[in-house]
Amino acid sequence: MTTWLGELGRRLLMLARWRRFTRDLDEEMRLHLELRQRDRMARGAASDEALRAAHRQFGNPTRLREISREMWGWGSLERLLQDLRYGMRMALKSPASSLGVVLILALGIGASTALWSIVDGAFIHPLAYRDPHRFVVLNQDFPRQDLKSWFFSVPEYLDLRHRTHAFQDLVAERELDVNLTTRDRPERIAASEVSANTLPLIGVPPLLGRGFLAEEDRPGGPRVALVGYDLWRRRFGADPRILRRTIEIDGASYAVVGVMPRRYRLWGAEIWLPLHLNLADGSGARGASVAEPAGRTEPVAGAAGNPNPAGAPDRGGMADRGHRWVQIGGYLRRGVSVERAQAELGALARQLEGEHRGPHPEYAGLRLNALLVRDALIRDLRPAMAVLLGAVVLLLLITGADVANLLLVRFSARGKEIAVRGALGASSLRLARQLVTESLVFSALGAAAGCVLAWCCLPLLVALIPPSYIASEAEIRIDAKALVVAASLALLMGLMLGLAPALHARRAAALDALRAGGGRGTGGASQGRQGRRARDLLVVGEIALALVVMAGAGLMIETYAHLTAVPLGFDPHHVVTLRVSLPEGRYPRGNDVEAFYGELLRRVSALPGVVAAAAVSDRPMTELSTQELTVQGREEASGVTATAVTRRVSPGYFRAMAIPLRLGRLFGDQDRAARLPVAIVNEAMAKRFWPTASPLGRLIRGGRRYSHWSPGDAAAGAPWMTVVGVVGDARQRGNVLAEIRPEFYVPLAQAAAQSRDMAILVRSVGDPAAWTAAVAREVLRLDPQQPIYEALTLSEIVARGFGPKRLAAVLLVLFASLAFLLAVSGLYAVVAQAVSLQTHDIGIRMALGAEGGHVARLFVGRGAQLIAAGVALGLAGSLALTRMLADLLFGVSASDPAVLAGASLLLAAVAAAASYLPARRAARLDPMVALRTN
Amino acid sequence: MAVTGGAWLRPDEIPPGTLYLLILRTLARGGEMHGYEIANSIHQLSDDVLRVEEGSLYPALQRMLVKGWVTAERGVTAGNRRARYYRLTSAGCRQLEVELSQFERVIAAITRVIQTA
Repeated sequence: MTTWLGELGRRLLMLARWRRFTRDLDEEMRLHLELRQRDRMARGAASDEALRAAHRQFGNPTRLREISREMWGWGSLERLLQDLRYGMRMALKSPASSLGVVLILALGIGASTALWSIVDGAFIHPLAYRDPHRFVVLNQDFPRQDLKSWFFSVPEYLDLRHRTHAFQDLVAERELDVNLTTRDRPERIAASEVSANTLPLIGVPPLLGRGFLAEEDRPGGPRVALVGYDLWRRRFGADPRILRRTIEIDGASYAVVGVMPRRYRLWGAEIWLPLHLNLADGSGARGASVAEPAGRTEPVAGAAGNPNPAGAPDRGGMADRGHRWVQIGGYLRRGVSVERAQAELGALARQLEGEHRGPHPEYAGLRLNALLVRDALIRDLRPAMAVLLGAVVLLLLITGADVANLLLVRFSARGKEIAVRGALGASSLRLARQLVTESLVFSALGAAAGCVLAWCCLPLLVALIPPSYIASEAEIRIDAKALVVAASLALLMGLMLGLAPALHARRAAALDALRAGGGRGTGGASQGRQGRRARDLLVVGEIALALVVMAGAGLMIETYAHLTAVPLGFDPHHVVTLRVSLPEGRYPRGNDVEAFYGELLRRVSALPGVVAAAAVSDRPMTELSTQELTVQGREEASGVTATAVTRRVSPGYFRAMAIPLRLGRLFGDQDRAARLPVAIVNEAMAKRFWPTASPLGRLIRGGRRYSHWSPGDAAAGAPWMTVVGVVGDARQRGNVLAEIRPEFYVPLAQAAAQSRDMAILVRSVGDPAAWTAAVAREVLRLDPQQPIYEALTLSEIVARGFGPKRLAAVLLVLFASLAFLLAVSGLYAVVAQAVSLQTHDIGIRMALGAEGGHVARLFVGRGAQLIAAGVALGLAGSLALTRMLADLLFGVSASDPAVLAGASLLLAAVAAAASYLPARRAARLDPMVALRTN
Repeated sequence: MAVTGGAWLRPDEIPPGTLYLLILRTLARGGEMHGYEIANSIHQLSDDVLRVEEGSLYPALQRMLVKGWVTAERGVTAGNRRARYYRLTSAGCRQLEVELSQFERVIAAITRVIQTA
């Protein structure tokens, strides 16, 4: 073993001293020669004869040098370096073509690397937790309410935790937005109250300090907080002394006990607080009150102990099974599949239904579901990702074909050189190695350039993906793995591209190329012809593939156009929205809330340039609240309740949104708190419940309310409301193709106590985004401690709904443009090469009387043949492959003839023009010059 | 294995295995020698029967350097010329023993075969 090591050491040492070694060896051999000569002369030979004999005896010094060096075992390395140097020299000889090859490879490899980084960062390894593939989130279905809820009540949480075995542990959490105030600057941040078992389960230790202790998580426990990394850097300047500070959250003081590491964004929050849940029996001091739709209350100052004794069912409190306000996540036990967990949940659902159905009719048909977080993230984006992957593969193929084309052109021009080498004794293996090394040089350069390209373009690409599809913890960047991917692609392409001409060179008869006049004209025609066939095939393939990608892009463009043409029911232009959340502590009564919003809207409306201002509880296509509905005279069969979408609005809402009034009237000043409760319904509701008569004057009543942040609040004692108007349908969900459900609007003034959390809408002239600051100013003037958050224009909200389709469309258009360019340039290169190869021929023809036009037609004809073949193949391919897009299409079929025809015509026309250019050059050749060309 | 010395010689008469043996033994006897001296020594000691060609000598010396059987040092010849002097190492000594015993075994075996009528 040591001998081998010693040997390797000596070899490496010799590698370092290569030049000195060569010098020494040369000198040694010279000395040897001289001594031998001297000896011969001593024995009587003449000086020069002795020298000659000595040389003869000595043999070939160069060969000797080589063999000596071989002994050291670095021969192959030396050969590699030789090949590399030669490859670089050849590349620099024709810089334009070399640059073209490198650029094309950069595009292909860069696109693939960028896509890999996105897929890996967002979907394969998005979470930085331990074993993220076991991370699940639970939800439940209430078929009676036609509702899927991500929320559970505390008794349900305890049931799930104690009566299942498939989970290592389950944690409870509540999302909420809080006002963080430091130095009088309020900021609204996403927070999350978590049960104490969360941190140990996720297995991420804090960067500083500690996590929550079990005793801190009891009801009435101390107010402690865990701060997230980004928040720590942003608001606290990454100050390590934060652990001794207290911060103000919603007006109360919290002690910071720890800072979480980077990429930790559990539940999407920036700060974590204890849930203060009594895990034993579910009682607690922080019961959310019934009337709060946001499910969040001020921490009861100085509270200790539970106003309701443990176990007593406090309606709306923690022990109420119907009050659903926590989300549940957890880890599957090792080795347990999600299907097994699902089966166990199914059994538990039946048990719960049996035990509690009486007081809780919603349990009829209850379904409990566990969803792997990873699946939840990629579910909607899967079709788009598949399409993109397909497009990248096609682009790589086209890239490869184009580069192969260019390389074939270069190598066929070197036919003579290769033949000479073969004649001098190079084995085919050696030649092949040379060619492969040269293409590896290209692909290495191309990969390096591609990585730089990908690194620059990655942020742009990521900006196209809708943020809801990427977990907050995901980090998308060009990292070591992406570089490995790029290197592998480079290796693969280099090998393939080098082997192709190497194989081709073998077949070329060496003698043919060496003949006088060979390499061009008729002498080299046999080799030229074979090369021509290969190049023709490549170009036909390129054109076909490009057509497929273009067809796909065309279909996505059509789909997107159709989607954006779907009527929304309102005018999204020139409207900006933002949210305000009034804390109960400073706005205890409904009157206070109404006064604030009323005054705010009055002031904002008075600003010059504002057309209308309004407040609404849930913005269209962003937030959604539903409520159980009872319609007078149409009570459904017992046990089945209808649900409708519901919004609380200020009177100016419909005008601000440009929603038309169909019947009756809009809300006005007369619809105040103490007056007759009124409601406005949409057309869908009118059609559903009063298909033959007018809905005006009918009575409806709202029941339990569900919203995306807090479901299951029973609106006890809700009054009967009179329908006073019918408005046009407006899109409710982000997906514009979703059915519009029945909806009723309630005046803000008549539901002020539940309207602390509202969105402000401002319709203006000109650019709406510029109004955010102005509205924020008005808010601060009314209440200096009130931040605004989530400012978005309505156009942005609408555009978000198209997320995956827009992404697919944009990226496909990008790929299609690249493919188009590559295919067209490939055709150009082939025709240009044909012209230059056959210059001699053209000269002869012209000398014999052919006109320039005739010659040009010959080449254009050839180009046309290739185009026709490529388009035909491409059409067949499109019909076969665009079927895969079917999931993403809307308003257009996968084999839409208009799209296919358009793409074919575009490609054919431009390609024809590309083949015409060199043909025209051929037509203009001077026959005398052409004849002399060799 | 041998051809008479003369103006015209056939190259590569010495089988490579025994070449190492010869060089090692020469160095063991002679201490420090440069390439020409080694070749000359073998030539003279074998009465002009064995001729080491440069084409075999130097590659063999390189190989022995790789294997660590000899070391090389710069020195000056009698004629005031710079040359590389080779010297046997302890590993080389061991290798010499190995090669010697191997060679003797082979020769004994061949002799037995030849002598048996």
